[in-house]
Amino acid sequence: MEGDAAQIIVDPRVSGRGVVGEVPIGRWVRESGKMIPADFVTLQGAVIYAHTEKLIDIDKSLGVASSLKGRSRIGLLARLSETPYSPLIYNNAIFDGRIDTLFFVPFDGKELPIAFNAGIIAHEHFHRLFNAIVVQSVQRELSTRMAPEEVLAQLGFESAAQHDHHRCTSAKPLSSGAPDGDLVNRLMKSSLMKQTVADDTPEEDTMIPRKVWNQTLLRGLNEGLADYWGWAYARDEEFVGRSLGKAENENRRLDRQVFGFPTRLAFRNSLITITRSGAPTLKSETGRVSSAYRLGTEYARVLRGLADVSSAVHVRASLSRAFPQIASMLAQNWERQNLEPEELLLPIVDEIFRATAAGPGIVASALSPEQVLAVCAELRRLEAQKPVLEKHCSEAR
Amino acid sequence: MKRLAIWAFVLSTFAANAEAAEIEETAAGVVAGDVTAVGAELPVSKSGLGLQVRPFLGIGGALLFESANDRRYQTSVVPPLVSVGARVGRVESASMPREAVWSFRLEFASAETRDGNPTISLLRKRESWLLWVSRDLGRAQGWVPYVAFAAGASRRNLETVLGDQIEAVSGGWLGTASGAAGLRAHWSRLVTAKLEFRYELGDAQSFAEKTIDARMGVAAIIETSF
Repeated sequence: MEGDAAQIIVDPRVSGRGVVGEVPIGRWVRESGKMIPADFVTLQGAVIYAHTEKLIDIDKSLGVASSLKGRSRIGLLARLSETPYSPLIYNNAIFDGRIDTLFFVPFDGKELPIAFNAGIIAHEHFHRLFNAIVVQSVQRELSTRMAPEEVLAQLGFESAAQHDHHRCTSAKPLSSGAPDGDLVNRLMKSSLMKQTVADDTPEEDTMIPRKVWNQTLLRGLNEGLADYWGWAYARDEEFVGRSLGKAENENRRLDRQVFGFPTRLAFRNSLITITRSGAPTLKSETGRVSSAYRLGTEYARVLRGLADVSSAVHVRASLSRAFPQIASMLAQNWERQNLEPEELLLPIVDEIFRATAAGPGIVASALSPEQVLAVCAELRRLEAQKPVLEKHCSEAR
Repeated sequence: MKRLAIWAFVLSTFAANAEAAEIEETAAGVVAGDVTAVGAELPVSKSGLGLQVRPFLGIGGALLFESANDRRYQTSVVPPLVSVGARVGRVESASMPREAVWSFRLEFASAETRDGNPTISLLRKRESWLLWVSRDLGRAQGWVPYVAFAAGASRRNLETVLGDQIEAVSGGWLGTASGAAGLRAHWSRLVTAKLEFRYELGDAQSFAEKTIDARMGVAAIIETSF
């Protein structure tokens, strides 16, 4: 089961030679010219391959496919664990940029298995794209300023482990098992109100190393944009919950309205927890991963709202065009400042408004005047920064 | 099952004719077709080349492990087995019991497996027809070892279920071959029990061409002669 779009392997293992595994031979039944998968592995492989093919067609139409090196490598029935001593992971999909491989671990739930979930396949495919264009670009840029090991440490990459249970701590799982989003939002709002004064003197920032701040932000951005990519492909608000259950659905569904861009203060608060003695302290790595996913959901919902007032395809195209600007912003500021959550979305907003060649010698906005008004209204509702509104919406009142 | 009934009829007719022919050839006074215990004095062909054919029906079951996509992806199937056939032997001398050392049988097997979960599942039903040729390796009473080989055809029927949508398809017939070795409990001329180890190789449809699937396991069969 392999072709130009993807190579599917079963029971993948990470060894010194890279990713190895069994190449499955699909079993089919031929009926009236149609090929019907004749076993469950073939069925999963066929669905994943077909979606990957379509996703690569989308990449080609957006002009980003050439950034991907070779076909997708996809491992089915992958036996992965966080550490060699922790239990195997079930019901998840994990993209590991270090070895450019997407893993589907065994699924034992009652919901739609992840391998059949179009939105999740697109979400994971996005990680590959983001890794190839943004993360590797940042990595290259940072390499000009620091040692290779330091670059990996800054970006949170560990060297690929070489044991049976592939260590995937720094890979990108689909879900982190984050707590209830609404509860967190409520807590965050109350915390925001209490710490309005503290915002001017952000003493908590001193307990958040810049590396941790920026790593978590990058991870959140990656997850959020991937959720949007998954939604734009599947057009399913609940694509994550369709496989991961009701709790995850409530945390991640994209049709919940957000009331603003992600802010620095809210993000900072999400990285801090209070000890029993009442002292604020940096959350554990697990807690920070959950924070990244919550931030990601906010990003995805912002884009989902902008898609409502323009179009899903237009926002997706704008996102793909914004990759170089996002990479540049990350690379230039990585070790110099704590990145601003809102600012990372601005290149996408710029691209949403950008005029493009509509024909030979004709430059026009892809948005109609009504759509421009609607997007500006949405940005005002989200309380976008003043420069953004002045740049794009000064005439749209 | 209709085809199975036709085969049963054909084989029993053939067996009856063979028995009739033998009656003409055997010595006077001997009751042809007498069902006697193994080891009893048996009729001997005048020419020393008398042929006996004893039709039988068999039922049983198998436990087979099917290796399809890779070493890890193995499923076990438990197909019920139904067969009809005839045991054929020559009577060569008075000291040699009238035994059927060859047997030919047509066997039908059908087994289902379901993979997936309550949201999406795939039901696979595999049907096979195999024509077996079996040779006893001993003539003693009790346990008689034997080897057998078969050729035939099999097909897969699929039912893919997603929520309340069902897609059912039937595949074409593909070649299958099998080998077996086992022991036959030769305690009665009426009923025989067999336990065998089987290995099957069958064509399977890969996307562009055919590939081969292997199945391996054990089968237990009870055959009733008539």
